Amino acid sequence: MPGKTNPLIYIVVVLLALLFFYPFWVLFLIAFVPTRFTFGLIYPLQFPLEITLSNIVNSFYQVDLLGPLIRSLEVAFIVGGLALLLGIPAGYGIAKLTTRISNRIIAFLFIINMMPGLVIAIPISLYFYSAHLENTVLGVALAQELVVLPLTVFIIMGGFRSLPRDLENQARVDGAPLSSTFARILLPLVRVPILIAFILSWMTSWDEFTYAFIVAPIVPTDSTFPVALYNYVTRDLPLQSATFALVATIPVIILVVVFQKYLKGQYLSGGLIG
Amino acid sequence: MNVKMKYENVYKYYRSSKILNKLDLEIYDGEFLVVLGPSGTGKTTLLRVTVGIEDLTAGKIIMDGVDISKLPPNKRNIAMVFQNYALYPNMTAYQNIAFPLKMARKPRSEIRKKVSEISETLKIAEVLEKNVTLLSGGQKQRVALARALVRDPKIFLLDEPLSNLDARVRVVARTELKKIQKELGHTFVYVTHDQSEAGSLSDRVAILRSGRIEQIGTYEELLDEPSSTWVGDFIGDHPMNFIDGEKFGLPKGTIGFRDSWATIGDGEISGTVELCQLGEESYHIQCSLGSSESVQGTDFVDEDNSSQISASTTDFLRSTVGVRSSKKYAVGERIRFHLEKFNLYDSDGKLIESVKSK
Amino acid sequence: MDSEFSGNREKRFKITGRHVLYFLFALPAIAYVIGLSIFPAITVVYQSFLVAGKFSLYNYSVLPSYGLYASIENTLIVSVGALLIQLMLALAIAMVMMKPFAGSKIFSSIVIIPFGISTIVSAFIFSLIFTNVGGFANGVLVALGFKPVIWFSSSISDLGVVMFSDFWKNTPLVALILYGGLSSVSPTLYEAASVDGAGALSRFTHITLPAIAPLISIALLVRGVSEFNIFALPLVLIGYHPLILNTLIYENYSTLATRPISYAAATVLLIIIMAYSIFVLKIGGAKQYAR
Repeated sequence: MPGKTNPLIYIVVVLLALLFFYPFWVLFLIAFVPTRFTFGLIYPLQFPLEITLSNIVNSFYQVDLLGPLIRSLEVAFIVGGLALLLGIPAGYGIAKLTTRISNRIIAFLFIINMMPGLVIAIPISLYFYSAHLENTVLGVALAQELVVLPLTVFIIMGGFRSLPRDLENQARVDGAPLSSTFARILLPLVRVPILIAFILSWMTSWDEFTYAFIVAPIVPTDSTFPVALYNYVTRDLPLQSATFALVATIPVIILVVVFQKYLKGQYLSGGLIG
Repeated sequence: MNVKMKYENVYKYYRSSKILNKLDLEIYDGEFLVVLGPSGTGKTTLLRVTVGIEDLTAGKIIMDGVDISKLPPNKRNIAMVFQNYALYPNMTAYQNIAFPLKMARKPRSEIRKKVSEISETLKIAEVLEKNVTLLSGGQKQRVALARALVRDPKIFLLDEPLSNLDARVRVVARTELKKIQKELGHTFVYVTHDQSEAGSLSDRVAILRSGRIEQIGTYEELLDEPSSTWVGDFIGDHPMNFIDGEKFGLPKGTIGFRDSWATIGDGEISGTVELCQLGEESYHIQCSLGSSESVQGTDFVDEDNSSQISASTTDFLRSTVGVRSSKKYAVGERIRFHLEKFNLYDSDGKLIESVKSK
Repeated sequence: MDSEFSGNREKRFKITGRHVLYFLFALPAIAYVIGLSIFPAITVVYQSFLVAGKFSLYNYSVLPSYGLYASIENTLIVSVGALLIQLMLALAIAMVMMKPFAGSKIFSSIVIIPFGISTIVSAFIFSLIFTNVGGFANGVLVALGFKPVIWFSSSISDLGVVMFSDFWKNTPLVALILYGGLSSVSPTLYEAASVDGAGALSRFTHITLPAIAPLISIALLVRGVSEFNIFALPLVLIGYHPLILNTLIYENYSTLATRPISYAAATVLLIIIMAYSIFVLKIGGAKQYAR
């Protein structure tokens, strides 16, 4: 108990760090090390003898990287925006209800969330087919929205819950209608949970595979990047896949690093304390 | 008296702050020692190094002749009651009290016997089966105490255990605590910043200041003969009055006196009444002294004067003093008073001698 | 929204008015979720009982010949295995994150970033790590002096690779959940236990575990259901052999003729997930009462 740092901790730390870092390392090796040292050998070198950019550069010429990435961007922003559009009023409404009811609603949303993605994706894609939404950005976004809504509502609700009760009462006494109270006073105060909810939704959409695969699968040029990546993987094009993976992963790495402390903080559990 | 525990040259540094700084202390067997000090001066740290959850930077702690400074907490046989009780929230009162015995691998029948004995003594037998989070503050405090007592340790450390209780419960708990200690004959080391607790509970009081023991003795001794102006200012319902002796025709140096040591009537010191309040038995009068023009102005001064913790005597020199009287005086009235006795302090604030008038 | 001046009757009236408004705010989100979740699910279940427009159990009766039992078994194996791996790793991470040590910020970054990785990217990388001949994993083994392993030699080893590879993206979430639980325990509690004579193991069993037990339930529920739903990883690593429920569903979805089979399989999956959820909720709830 008295402050000795147990050496055992360092051993565990190093082992865990190696374990979690290794996949990044492999991606790095595949992308930046000449193939004769990776695929050209039965046991690829674990350390780079040489670094090259030609794997990446060639891949840019060989495959259409930009299309799927742009589509993923479009989908992710729609998903994030829609999440806020639906989630902010929902978060506010549920936060103001009594705890018993609000807990039931939240529980309901999360339970619905647990429906198997594939099971739901199939009939949804059939609906979309008749609505001419198949293979469209909007279609994918609408399907993915399902996944992000419960958590978004939960986080935003937590944000509203943590505001002092009398804030709104004060505004009412001062004669403000609900709409301007909302816009001028409440919203700015919950901008951090809103930002977090947006980013989580965005990231979830960016990474999402199952719904994208079912709703917009067939032609790679119409699909988001996870589906396109899947195509390259199944066609055994590891270099192109690695390039793709690299480009698509860097934004999320940045996002997670920057927002790490919020993930650890109270925003995720805001609703639980209520 | 037997020395139960001895602190020799104890130092505890944390980063750059010296929390315990050459602390020497002897604790007698069976005594109720109160460690008194302003908040943040290291009282809790003293307990933590004693029980072993923190290491000493230097020095030794010796209990019953054995140096325990390097032993882990469970080998020291010292019990501690934490300020927030630290009860295990997933267990019942019974399980909490039984926990130390369970850790010591005592047989279940013995555990049951000891727990029921101690819970009878502390009057918590009826709530034994309840989860501790459901108990009242007073009950929690007694469970925490029971958990400490049940181990029969050599010394009990208590970290302001009553500070979280309602005022009325606190008074009752105080009496019970003292009674238990006397009955069982254990050595208690009780840490607090509350003077009335110190006064009523203690056999002796040790004043902790700047990481060392400033003075130790009975509460009355500390009241009567504080070894420094700082102690005089700190101890007591009202701080000790300090005046510059020479200005009032008294011996050279700083004169310290308690408000009850002055008799109003004919006397060597004169003053003007600023405030006259009825206390419990007598009036407490604030008056500004009139002797010298270098004395500060006559602005209203409220009773809770600054409690400066500093070694310089000039910080305690005041322009107004408090005295007691059985009769009421009007604001503005001039009075004279005579000091039955006073303490003489040097320029560093240390006690030179206690002077009584004939 | 209750005023202290209103009596009981007036309170109820006020509550109704406002509360309807709040509920309306929540309605779009709720409706969306119901519309895009429950209705499709009901459709799937409904369709699974139809053959040529008429009620029939035919789809279910032929399911076993498409590999139903094996895929159920495999799904369970992968899910339970992956959960165990993730729980153990996450517990280790959470406990380590509680202590201060040099480089803890870098450590938590390394361990949390995979959370943001796409499942497909993760699947791709692990397909490079685990190859039957050579590959990165075997490279490490050989370098350490061990013999190389044929990772995809049998059904069990296939499932093992999937089970293991799933840890990377998913452990961070469990670790964060457990870390939240661990940090809610006051350190004074551990100190008191130490004073009471409890060693490290006793402190773990009597203080740490009870504190994180409810969170383990939550993690098991959320991650468990997600495990039953894994799709990208097995699709890339093991394709359609051996089958798990999701790949079974997808395999039969692509052909119109076998689509009803896929609906039946989907219904089976749904039932399994619901049964699992109820199970975890019951156990988790029971623990609360055992206090």
